[in-house]
Amino acid sequence: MIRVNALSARVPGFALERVSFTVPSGSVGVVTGPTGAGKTTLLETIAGVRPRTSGTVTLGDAEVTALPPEQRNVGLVYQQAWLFPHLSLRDNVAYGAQRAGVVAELVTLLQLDALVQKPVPTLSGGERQLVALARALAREPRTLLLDEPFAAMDSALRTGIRSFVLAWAAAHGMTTLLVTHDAGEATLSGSVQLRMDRGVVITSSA
Amino acid sequence: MSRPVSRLLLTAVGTLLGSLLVLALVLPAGTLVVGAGVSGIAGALADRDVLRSIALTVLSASAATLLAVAGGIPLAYVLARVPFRGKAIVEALVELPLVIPHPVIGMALLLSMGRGSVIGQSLAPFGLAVVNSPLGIVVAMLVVSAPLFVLGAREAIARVDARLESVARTLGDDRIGAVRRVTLPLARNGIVNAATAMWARATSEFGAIVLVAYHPRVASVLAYDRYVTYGLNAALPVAAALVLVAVAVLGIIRATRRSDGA
Repeated sequence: MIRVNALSARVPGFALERVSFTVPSGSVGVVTGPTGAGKTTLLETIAGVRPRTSGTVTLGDAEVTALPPEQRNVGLVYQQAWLFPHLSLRDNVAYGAQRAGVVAELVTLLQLDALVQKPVPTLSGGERQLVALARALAREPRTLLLDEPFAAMDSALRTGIRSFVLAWAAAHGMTTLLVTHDAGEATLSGSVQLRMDRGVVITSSA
Repeated sequence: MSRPVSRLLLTAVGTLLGSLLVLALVLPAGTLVVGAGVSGIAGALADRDVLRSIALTVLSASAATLLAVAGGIPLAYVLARVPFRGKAIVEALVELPLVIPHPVIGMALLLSMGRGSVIGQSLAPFGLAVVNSPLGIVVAMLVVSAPLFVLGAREAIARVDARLESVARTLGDDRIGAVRRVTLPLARNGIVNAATAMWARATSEFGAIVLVAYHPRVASVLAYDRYVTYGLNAALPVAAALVLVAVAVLGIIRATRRSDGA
């Protein structure tokens, strides 16, 4: 479960204002809204990498508001991937992995085998996003926070990877919050819908 | 005047001014080496005092650089990443030795760490002194050169996007772990460059050292001592030998940087 209650945060020139919603355990929440709506800030604040000014965050059964990011058990994937350029592809995927075998499993399932010899800085945008997804999934977090992680993939790949990621997350009991501009993703069946603008949630099906 | 002609003229003037600057940089040292001659330089390099002063200079600069790296990396990280009240003041304090004349820094060190100071009296029971000691040389080198390291390391760390650290932390690293596994490896070349710049600056320091520790003599003080004691001609071989050693060190540093891909 992801429960956000009156969450506020400030970044230069922008404020997230008293955002509240709940995504039930094992479900998917989809966040849409124009550029600058505060979607990335919301995800970063839930992950704990950006300080909040007020409000609470509950992930699973535990309130994590006071915990640092490494104790929140979240996976965060940015649109830009932010791979570690000094590490190999495999070491990127394995960075936070806690279970033997999960790295090889994800590398195979996401068809990254053909890329493992390529230096990370030479990967294309879509390939980087695949590796970033594998890296977050390999951690097997309780909560998956995805900030347009399929945006750099072509449409055929995007559909397949999205299905795989959401199925993997569901199978592993993860609750997912997905930020997207994609109309297909915005209307995922069974998902909690949130629309944001200027730092507030303007409509919510939660 | 037509555009191609004015561009040509501008290029010619720029080339001339650039060449004159290079000449101004190279001419004094070149004249020194030529004036000393091969036999003079060979004699200086066989002089035990010269060799001792070069060794003292290299070791002291290395010790000062190690101390600056140990304390400077955490400071550079905080300055690059952490917003806090009074940060501009701390940055200005770090930069201060760059704008203070180095003999003035030497005077300040004598006052604050000399025999009559609290620090000087605290060190005395342990048989340590800052004045006229290798410790004083290291301290003087540290104070005048460490800003180069801290500022360079700060820039190197700031160039590593903070979101890489954020991702590392969601993957289980605490802040120190993320810095150790992500930020420092990515900032490594910049940090090494900053350390070599500091080391090179420390080896050439004179103004602060000559006041704090005339003895034992580092290379710059020895050259000065020979000049004031015996005159220019007698000091020439020593000065030329030191120039050649500096050129060799610079060459090694640049070659190391190139092989490192920096």
